[in-house]
Amino acid sequence: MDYALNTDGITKIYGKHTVVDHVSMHVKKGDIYGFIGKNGAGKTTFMRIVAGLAAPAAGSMELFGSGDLEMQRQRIGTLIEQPGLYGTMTARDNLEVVRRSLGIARKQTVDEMLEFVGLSQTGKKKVKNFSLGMKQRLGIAIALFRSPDFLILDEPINGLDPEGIKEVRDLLSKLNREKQITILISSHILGELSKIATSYGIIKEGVLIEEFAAEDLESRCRRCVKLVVDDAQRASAILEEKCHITEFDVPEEGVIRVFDGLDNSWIMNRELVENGIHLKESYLAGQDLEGYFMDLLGGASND
Amino acid sequence: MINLLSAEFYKLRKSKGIYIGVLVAAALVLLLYGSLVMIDKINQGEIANGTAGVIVSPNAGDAGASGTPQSMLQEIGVIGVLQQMFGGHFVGIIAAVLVSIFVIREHSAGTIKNLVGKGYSRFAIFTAKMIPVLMLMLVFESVVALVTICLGIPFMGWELFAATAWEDVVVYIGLQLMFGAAVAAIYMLVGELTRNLAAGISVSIGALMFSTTLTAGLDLVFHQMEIEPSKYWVLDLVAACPTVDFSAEFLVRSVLVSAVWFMIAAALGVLHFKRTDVK
Repeated sequence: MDYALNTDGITKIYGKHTVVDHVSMHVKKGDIYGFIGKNGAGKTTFMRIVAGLAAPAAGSMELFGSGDLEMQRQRIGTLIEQPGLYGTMTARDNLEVVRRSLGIARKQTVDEMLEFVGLSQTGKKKVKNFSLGMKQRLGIAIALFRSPDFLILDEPINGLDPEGIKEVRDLLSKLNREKQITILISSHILGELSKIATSYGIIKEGVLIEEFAAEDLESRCRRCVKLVVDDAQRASAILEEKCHITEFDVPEEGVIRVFDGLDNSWIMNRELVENGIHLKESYLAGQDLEGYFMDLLGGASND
Repeated sequence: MINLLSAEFYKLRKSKGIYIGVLVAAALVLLLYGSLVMIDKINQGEIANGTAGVIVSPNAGDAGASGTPQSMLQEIGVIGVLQQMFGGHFVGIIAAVLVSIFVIREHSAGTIKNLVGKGYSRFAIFTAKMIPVLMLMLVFESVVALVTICLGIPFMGWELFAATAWEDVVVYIGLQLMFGAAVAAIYMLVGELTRNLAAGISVSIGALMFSTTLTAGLDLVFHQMEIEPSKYWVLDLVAACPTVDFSAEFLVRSVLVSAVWFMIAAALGVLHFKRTDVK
């Protein structure tokens, strides 16, 4: 398997607090990897380690299958936390600094990039007078300089208006689709993330608790009929024999989730009752993506 | 490295604060000359003592052969004004502010992330920052020296100006530029260690103004052992640099002390930058 990023047991400790705890992440080439976690879960710290801004206390990582991180980081574009911008300069000057530092000979690249992120009309306006969204766009432009193969974006749509969010989403999808750029992206706006992510990693209290593909997520969030019964084992047998239902599971004692025959749930209910099962509850359930993440992260608001 | 330098010099060129700092320094030179002229006028009784807050003590100007107090400007000459500017902290304070802004804003604005995240070695990034800082210091001090010399003509008159011992002036400026390089490295180290603009400027100016008091205290402590730490602290040399009769011992010590402090500050700065996380 070709990975853009492959980490093994990355750990970061500040004082006595383990912020990132043995994270082994696998970002396949071409993926848009949605990195999800509450505030303080360790997302940003982990991204900073990958970008070389912070050193891990333990663990190792490979970028594009290579351990020569300094070399491979030249293929990365990053936007972590606030974009790093010179407030007293114009957008053009900021990009000119980046162009020079990256040794890009073509001077037109700056104008093209400004056009690309919709900041070509900012003229002599100083960056310190930009809106949050404009700064964010400029930060994205900096990350995109020198056509990176791997983008690391920490909350890139923060501060953007709905139109801006859509533009960034479309831009990232386009970059991924047309240029095969791998993207590691964290966002609190899970609905937006779910529209573009092809795989997910969920971090909780510094621990990467799950990694899965977007297709898996869809199956995890399937609609179902939830039955709360007194005897799940006998009820399961009745569902199989009388209702010919095979797709169900028992996630916890006394609870059955039925995934097929949802339109005929009344038949299930009737059969269970007629066969002496004490049916306490029967309802149509299903999670949206946000609900699923909330469950995984412990139910609290992911602000 | 060349790319990084190109970006750093571009930033330097675009920094309005640098130009303002240089203008302020030039204005200070003008003010200093103005003060000296006022002292002369007060001594000559042309204006009252205390005018515009300038108070001249009775023995401020030594009596010349004619019995009238000698002109202060005549007494100190161009090199005396240079000594006031360099040794009297005027240049040092402004330079501390300029270097701190240039170095620390990379951390406070987060722009350092753009370089570190692109795979450049920390050593290359720090070195690429240090070279323009040195250039900034040298250009800044040269401009101050040039302005001081040029303003000497209108304020002193051509005759007195032409009588200046230019060899001494050149040696003095050369020494100050050399000290300036070491001092810039120290300011840069302070900036790297603090990574906070207010703290960086405060510590740099504090070191400039009070470290010489500390070394004077150390001189007293080590008096019995005949050791004078102040002779080996670059900021003491900035203040104590003679304007005439430069001894070979002083010249050699100046070169060695400047080089050693430059290397210590640069090495510590690189080490700290390599070992600490970038916020």
